[in-house]
Amino acid sequence: MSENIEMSYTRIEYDCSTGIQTTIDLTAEEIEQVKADQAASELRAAAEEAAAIKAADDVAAGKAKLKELGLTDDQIAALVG
Amino acid sequence: MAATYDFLGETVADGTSGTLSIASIPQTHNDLVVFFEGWGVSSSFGYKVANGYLRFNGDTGSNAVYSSNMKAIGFNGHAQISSWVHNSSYCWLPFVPIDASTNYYDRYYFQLDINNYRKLLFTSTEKRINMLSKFASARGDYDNGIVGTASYGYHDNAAITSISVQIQDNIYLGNGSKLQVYGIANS
Repeated sequence: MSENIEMSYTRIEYDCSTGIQTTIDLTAEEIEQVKADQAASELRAAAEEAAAIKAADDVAAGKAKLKELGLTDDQIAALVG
Repeated sequence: MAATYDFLGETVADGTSGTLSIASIPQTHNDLVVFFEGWGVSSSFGYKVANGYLRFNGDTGSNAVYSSNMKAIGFNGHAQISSWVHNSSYCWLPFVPIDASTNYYDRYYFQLDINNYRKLLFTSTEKRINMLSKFASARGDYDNGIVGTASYGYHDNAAITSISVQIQDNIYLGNGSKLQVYGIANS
């Protein structure tokens, strides 16, 4: 089942001191924070992806260099996997 | 003597909100154990998983640090994924399942152990605590998922009085998603 339910910027909060659960509208600042959190996590993911690509490129370049030095594929695999 | 878990409170999603929180946590125990079980609902989101954000005391400063170490498992292979982020405003909850269905069945789970949440055991003015989380997330319809652990740090001197879980923007937590807090009073 798929439904389109309108997203509301709220949080549902339980207050331990009262035992009451309420739905609270987020403030403008809190909504901005939701968006900022998403932007920050996207930046982090992009940085991690770039680092992974660089690491893969470095491995490939290193293997090529070892090959040039005369190592066999098995020897290279034993060294770097 | 075995520790007993005293139920302190829970928040249950109604399917229209992106954040669950528990406030005014009693300052009566030594440790906390936090459980979350939930998923995200979106009819427009283009991915099968999304980011979740764990936050303490509503703190949006740069007082959080996290290091996640997880294993992605699937029918065709597996991979080890690690990440470390400091000076963050949140602790990352990775790979929360997202679906268009309001009756979706896969869940993201975590159990978070927070020792010394009142920070009473510190003798210095630096009252930074680290927490251990174990988590699992599944995508049964694609036969894959992740399991892992995370170390979360909250580097503010204040005692923890509130905890929130937020799903990323433009997604809401599925009806019945649940955040619970228990207290442990050590003997």
